[in-house]
Amino acid sequence: MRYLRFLLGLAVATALHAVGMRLLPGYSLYVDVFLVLVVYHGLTATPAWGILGASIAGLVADALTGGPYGLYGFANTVVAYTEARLQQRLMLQQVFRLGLLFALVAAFQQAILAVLQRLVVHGAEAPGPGEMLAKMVSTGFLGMAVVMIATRVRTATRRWRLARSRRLTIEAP
Amino acid sequence: MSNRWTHGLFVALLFAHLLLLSAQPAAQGGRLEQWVLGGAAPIAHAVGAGLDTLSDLGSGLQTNSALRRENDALRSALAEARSDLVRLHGVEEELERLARLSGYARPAAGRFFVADVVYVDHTSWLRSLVLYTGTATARRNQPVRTLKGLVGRVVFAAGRYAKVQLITDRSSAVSAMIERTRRKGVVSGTGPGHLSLDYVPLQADVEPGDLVVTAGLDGIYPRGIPIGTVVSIEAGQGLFHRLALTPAIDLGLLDQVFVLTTERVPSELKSPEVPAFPGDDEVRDALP
Repeated sequence: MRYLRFLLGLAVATALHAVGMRLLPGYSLYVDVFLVLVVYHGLTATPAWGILGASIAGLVADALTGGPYGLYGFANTVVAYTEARLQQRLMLQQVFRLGLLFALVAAFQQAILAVLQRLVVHGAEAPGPGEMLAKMVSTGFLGMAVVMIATRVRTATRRWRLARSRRLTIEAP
Repeated sequence: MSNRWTHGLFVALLFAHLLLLSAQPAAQGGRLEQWVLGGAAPIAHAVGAGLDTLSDLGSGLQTNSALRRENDALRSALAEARSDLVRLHGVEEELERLARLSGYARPAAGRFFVADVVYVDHTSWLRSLVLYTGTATARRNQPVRTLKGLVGRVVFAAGRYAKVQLITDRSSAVSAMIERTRRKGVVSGTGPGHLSLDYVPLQADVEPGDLVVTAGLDGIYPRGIPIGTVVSIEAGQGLFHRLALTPAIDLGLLDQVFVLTTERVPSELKSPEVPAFPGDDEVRDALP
């Protein structure tokens, strides 16, 4: 069930990315929905599964970009590992702090990509400070939104299950 | 799962990604990328089809007068296109007659098939274009163009989808020439929506507004496809100019493109006993 949820999230991220690219030409410069998925998945899954999921999401992002295959895969793997290590040391539960985590992870990923591109791609471009800031802000806000929605869905599901189990208990002879 | 297992997995994945990166560009589009693109591209295609349907619904709500105006404009455009077609048929026949008379072995016009653009990213660092080729199968190094000009070349095919390297990509290089003076150079991408023509000597006759077309010398792009227009002339490295160009096409408006199927080289010329390009196996292998 956990794996299906991740694959569904990956499909939704791909669809959102495609919608964004159709509607806004510079979308991929400022928003990375795959990164939001990677960070959220890292928060909810085991460290190993978080790293593996990040790698898979990165490879999907690579398939849709024009650079060498494996760039985003590498960057997202490092990001997921770092996130897993941070989670072992910090307890982040407040939505605002989680948003900050999303934003910092976005900056870290951009830095890794910039370094990798310099090493691997001839004539690589580095992200401008405006683009980097925009990506941090958008990832932070999107991350907060995803966490809030997921929390509400989980709470509503739990309440529904509780109400259902009470009904079954009352109805049983 | 223990920390040791997590560390091991992390190192193994990093190593795998580094292997993948170091295998470029010779193994570009390996099985893994083929598989992943085959899974992700249909989602992008479905999203595009959905947005197109919504847009069609919107245009279906146009008023009668707007539709009539659009109809009139389309009729006059069609009449103009028909007369252009008749004129160009005449020009082509005369060209063939002159070629026969002079004994000039004019290269045969290649065929093409139409492909739909399902995903385009022309503004980020790593520009890309994904096409849906339908029943036709794209092959590596097939040129891609529109009526207005050159788009790029196919770098990777995955079933009914193909990834295209845009001419504005920094790793793209196209053998080109200034149409007016036939002066040759190399066009490369310099950023989103920007091209430069390099290796044009300082003494060359070139002006802003000159049209740059493919020279047909790289074995990939046929001659004569518009690439862009010269907008400025700067000093380049050493004895060469550096010309900034605007592309002939607007990459943001790509909807359908033509994938050119280049002429096949006769098999006799590709046999090991009679190499087409002695000592240049890479060029020979790149030929269709």
